[in-house]
Amino acid sequence: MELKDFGIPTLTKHCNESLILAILFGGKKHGYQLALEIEEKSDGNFKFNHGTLYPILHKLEKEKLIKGNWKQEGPKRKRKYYTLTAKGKKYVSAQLSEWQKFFHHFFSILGEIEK
Amino acid sequence: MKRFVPLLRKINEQLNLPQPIKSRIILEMAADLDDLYETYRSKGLNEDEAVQKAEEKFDASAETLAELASVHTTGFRKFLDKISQRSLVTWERITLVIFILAITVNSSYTIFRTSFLQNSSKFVYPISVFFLVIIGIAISKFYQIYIKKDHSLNKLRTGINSIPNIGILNIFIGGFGYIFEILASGGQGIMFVPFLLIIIDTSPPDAVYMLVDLVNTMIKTTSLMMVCILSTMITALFWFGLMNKITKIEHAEAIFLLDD
Repeated sequence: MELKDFGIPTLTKHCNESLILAILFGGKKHGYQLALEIEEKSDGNFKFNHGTLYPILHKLEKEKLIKGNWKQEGPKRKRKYYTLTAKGKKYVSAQLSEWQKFFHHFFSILGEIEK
Repeated sequence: MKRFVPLLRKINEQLNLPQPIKSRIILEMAADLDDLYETYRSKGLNEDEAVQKAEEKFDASAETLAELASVHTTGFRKFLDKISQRSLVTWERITLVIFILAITVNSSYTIFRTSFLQNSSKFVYPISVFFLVIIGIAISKFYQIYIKKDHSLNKLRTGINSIPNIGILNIFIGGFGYIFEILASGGQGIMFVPFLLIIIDTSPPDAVYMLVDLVNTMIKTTSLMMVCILSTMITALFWFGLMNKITKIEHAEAIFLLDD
């Protein structure tokens, strides 16, 4: 993903993907844990409705940026945990620099207000 | 999970995906719903309030589910789903089937009762061979589903996409054959009317032979198109019928899993 992909229509989508990938950088998580951790670490500023996580998670899995593994939890419950793949780690590191560039340009325009 | 069965059933209805992908997604959602429920219970809500809050927070809207389905659907399957979903209403399906059967019966009569095939293009033969392959696949799927009643989810869709794939191949062969015959005749098929007028106007010595060649070209290309269209329509009927049954079986299987 490059800076030129950060169009207004796709900004939210890229933002959500980046948040999920960044949280997974810290270790394997399932869907509920991901939504919870994003909300906690952003002091409630980024909130996910849990259902909206699934299209993003499954898309990232299809693109092989993350990998899902089923784990038995108790006698009657299975849980799907997601981990970052090597491709995903490279991708999220590249995303970090693109986001930094994006906000640099963003604030350079917004900074005009103070002048 | 039982407390969320009504919501999960609704998701099962709306999520347009084959098994076992659909069951796995629903299992994933069920586990997260349970966790949401436990969180709200730990905050002091009673059971009913916790279930309601969990379902509100979850957001399994039609748009979200459609987006989820599109992640797992290939471009070709999206195209086929668009076509098959077009006739969801019963009377539309019945009308479509009657219409196609009427054309099929009429065309079959023309093809087999006249010397139609004797004068047709050679491209009719590969189309016929591939059509026989389609019939073979359709018969084997019919036997598996209706007679043997082997509804194993991992075998249900095996080979079913070969039917429309070979059908599309037949369309390409028909189209290619049509163009080939036109070009082989020196473009007479395209220029039928002007060519006919030239023959009538100039009355060349071999006008009769030219007219015979022209008519032969038209018979070849027309017969090829009739066979191609007929095989395509029957292929489409097979595919729609089998896919409807497969979808019903997968849907029933998902309901059974939810009840478990």
